[in-house]
Amino acid sequence: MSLPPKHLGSKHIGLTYRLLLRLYPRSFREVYGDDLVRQFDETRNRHGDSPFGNWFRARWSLVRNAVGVRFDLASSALFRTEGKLWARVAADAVTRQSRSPHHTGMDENMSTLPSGFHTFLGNLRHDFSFAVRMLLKNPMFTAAAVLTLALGIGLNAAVFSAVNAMLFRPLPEVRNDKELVHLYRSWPGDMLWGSNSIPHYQDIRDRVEAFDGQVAAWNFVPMSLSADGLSERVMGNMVSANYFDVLGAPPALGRGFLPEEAVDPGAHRVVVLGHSFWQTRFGADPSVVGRTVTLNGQAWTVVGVAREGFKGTMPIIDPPMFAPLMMQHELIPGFDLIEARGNNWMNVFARRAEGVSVEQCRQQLDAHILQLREEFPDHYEESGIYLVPQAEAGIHPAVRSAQVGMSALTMVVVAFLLMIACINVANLFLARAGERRKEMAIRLSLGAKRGRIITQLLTESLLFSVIAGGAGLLLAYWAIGIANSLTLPIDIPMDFDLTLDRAVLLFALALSVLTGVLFGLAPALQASKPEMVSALKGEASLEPGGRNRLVRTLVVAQTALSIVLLISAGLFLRGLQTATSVDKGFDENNLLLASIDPGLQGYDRERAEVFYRELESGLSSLPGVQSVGFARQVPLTLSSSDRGVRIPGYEPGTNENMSIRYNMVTPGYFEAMGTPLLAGRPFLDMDDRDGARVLIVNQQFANRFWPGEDVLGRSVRSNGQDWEVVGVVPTGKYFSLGEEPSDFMYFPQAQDWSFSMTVHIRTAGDPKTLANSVRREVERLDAAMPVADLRTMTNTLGVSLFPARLGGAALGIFGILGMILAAVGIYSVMAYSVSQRTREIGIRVALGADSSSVVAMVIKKGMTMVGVGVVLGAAIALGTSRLMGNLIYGVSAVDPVTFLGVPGMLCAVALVATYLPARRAASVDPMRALRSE
Amino acid sequence: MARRLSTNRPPLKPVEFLVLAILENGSLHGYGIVQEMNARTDGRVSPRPGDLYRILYRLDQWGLLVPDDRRTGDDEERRSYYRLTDLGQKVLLSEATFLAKMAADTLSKRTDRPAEVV
Repeated sequence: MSLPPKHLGSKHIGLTYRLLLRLYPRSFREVYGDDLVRQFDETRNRHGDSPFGNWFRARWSLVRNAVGVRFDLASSALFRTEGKLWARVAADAVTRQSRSPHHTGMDENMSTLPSGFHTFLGNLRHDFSFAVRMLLKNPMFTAAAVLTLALGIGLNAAVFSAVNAMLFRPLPEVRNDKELVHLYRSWPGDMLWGSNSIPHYQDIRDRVEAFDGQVAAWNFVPMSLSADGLSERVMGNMVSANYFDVLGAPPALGRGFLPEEAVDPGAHRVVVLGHSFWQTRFGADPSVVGRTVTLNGQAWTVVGVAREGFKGTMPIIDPPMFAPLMMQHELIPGFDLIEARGNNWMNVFARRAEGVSVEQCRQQLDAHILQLREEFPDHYEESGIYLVPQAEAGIHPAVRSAQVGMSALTMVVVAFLLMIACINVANLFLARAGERRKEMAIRLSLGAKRGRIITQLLTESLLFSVIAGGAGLLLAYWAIGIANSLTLPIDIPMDFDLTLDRAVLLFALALSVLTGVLFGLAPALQASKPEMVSALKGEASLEPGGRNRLVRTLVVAQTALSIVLLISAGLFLRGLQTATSVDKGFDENNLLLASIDPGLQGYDRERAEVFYRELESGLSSLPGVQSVGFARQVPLTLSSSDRGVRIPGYEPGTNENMSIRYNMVTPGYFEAMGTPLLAGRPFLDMDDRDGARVLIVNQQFANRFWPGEDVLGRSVRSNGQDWEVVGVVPTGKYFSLGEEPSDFMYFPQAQDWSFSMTVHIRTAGDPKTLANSVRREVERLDAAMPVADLRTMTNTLGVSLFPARLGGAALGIFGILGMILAAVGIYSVMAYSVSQRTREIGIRVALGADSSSVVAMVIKKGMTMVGVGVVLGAAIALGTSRLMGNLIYGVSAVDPVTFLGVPGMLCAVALVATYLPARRAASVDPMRALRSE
Repeated sequence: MARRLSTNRPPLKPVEFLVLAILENGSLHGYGIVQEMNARTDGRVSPRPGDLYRILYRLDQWGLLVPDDRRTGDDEERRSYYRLTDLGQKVLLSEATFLAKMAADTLSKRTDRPAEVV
């Protein structure tokens, strides 16, 4: 718009004005448009020349009112009857005074709704718009409080979405998962969750009527896949042919496995692709069905693609491929497991037939096991079948209690944070309610009911918390995005699939409303009963009771809550610290790992032995490599194998666990791991296929079976052979860092063959720099051989520590957040209290109090509250830390470092938070303070 | 009664009340309303055209006034007149009662000082 010339013809002015008039709704323009323009002209003519200011103001008024008219229109559309209604009520009030006292005050055609409802709607709308105005009036207050609360609600929503995903959400794309049950073999010694052998699985499928044949088996199996000129090792699923049928999840493309594919071992080379793998690896090409891919060196046909989102029974893992169980020979070369009743390694689940209860299933399984015991006494003498319904299974029953515990702990922690945030907001509202005492008193004296005022204040806090809830959801959305994008450096494709689904949204909404009532109610109750006279006179309340007591209680509660939070976090972090600094039995620095499986490439044992020998010498000659060893398993990766032993001359007690974890290793292994030998010798090249059977045990093993005796030369019977102990190594950590010291044994790979090995390379410098050389070395020997899990040992340990580190980091952050929130709370309460007592402090100063005594007075008041909170919090933390006991590794529940350090830290922070208002109090100018109200 | 009203709905804004009060004497056009307002309030309340017509529109929406059919002047100078509805009359009366009571209450507590403005 150009600057207006000094003199404008009326037509010209009418033009810009008329253009702006377009902003109004048509219904307005038709009636008032012409008049508006005309009146504008008249005003202008009468006032003569219009300087720029007037010119602009006239147009601005037009724009502003156009918006206003549209707002009026929208709100009267929203509350259609409201506008006329109040007018009628008012008018009727007048009419009633002059006419019959029994007039109802409502027109028959007005509405069929009771008048109370209309009043309610009117009130609501009024309260709502008033609340909006109050919030906008004080934007900083609103922003700070909304942010605090949003943080609390957002964290709760994010954590709930994780817990929901892991514990409560039904299995995706699976038909009625309530009917599913998981079956395990139970063994003496509290071993409830044993795996199943294939013949055992087939017996249950064919003989237990309660399942009507709907029993499926599956396990993860590494597969070597070549397609489109790219070879890689993927962690696939080997499943029984009825897998998709039992889950009620027919593939999205092509077909599942056919009944005949459950019969002939090795006859059907067919695979079904996982949906996301199909998208990423095959570009979502539908013509992939019917194509041939190379799996473990052989040609297989893709027959189908699973449904989107389908993950089987373990929803945190997204399997790339499914292959039939009867192809076990091809998938795991060198092992014959289809007929082996003693080889328990499959996961089994079943669908209850219609009308069959879980209890009936258990009874039938008990009967079935008796039958099996008669048929195969060797295999079933001590073993039973343990049934777990899907709803109680979680990721795996073995980790369920830890999972539930961890989930509960995190939920409690974030709930605490939310409570602290709520208290802060409640304090802010209380402070503001104090400022509004006069307003409340006037309204009450004009006849407003107390209930109305409470409703109005609650409307404010609810509006507030719902806004905060919205912001919190945004925060949660963001946090979930980060959590989902985390990829763990492991072979198995993890997918936590956290979403803000309906359950989470409902949770956040319920939480917002709850917090709104929670922090809104106390201030509302307080504010609605001010001491009328002093409030009307504008005097600050000086007496100590009432509101002040409530504020003090809230500060104490807040301090106590944050102490509990911080102590819990402290204990957890101390536990983590102990766990990571523990002696693992090897040196994880400068160690490079890579997994290889020549068996998957169709090698036989002789070829594989040659391959491994050449690889070892090739790698050893690389510059920067100090030593090279191979092992079947990498310690502390949460995987293990165990086998039963018998020790001549040792009589095991009843239920004593004689199954001991083991590993297969090559002669260079101990040197590469940096594990010293306490006695005897390492494995040597002479410990080959034809040599005498030898093993190495750890100190714990030696102490258990031959305490105080000479160990070397002793004999151990295992796996059908006698093994002679030739060496002893220190006891390390094998399965998890938190485990108790446990027995362990090592067998030479040459005498206890394994195709799949992980090479351990001890390097002089940074192991990462050697990764490419290792890959090239393998390629030189066999270009098609996939190298999997090429990574450093520290990286691998990071993975096993990941859950604990994540938990520790989260708890630590939550604790610090809680402390900051509490400090803010203490600060704002003290600052408010000082501002309220300005007059009193002024009098003190006028009467001769020096600044240090004023500071001391304020600090004493603040720190008394903090002190009570700290003692209370520490007492509660003492109780909760005992509950947390099994989650904390190696730290006493009354760890003095935590129990003294944390309160000390909080007190220091609280001291700063009270000192700042205290200093302000000390600088009060008595003259000004006395003059002010 | 007036007290009950105040909890149901905030009272009319002064300028809305003024518009109703002016129209009680008979229907009037927009410019006339502004002039009358100026006169009654010594120029203290003098809405711009945009503000005035928003108020008229709002009161119209609430059913308190309607544009009148009666027009004066020739084609070029035709103006819309506005008049109170029955409901508008009643609301005006009820608001006046309410304001009068408020004013009386206020003044009765301040007998030590002369009232300057009503």
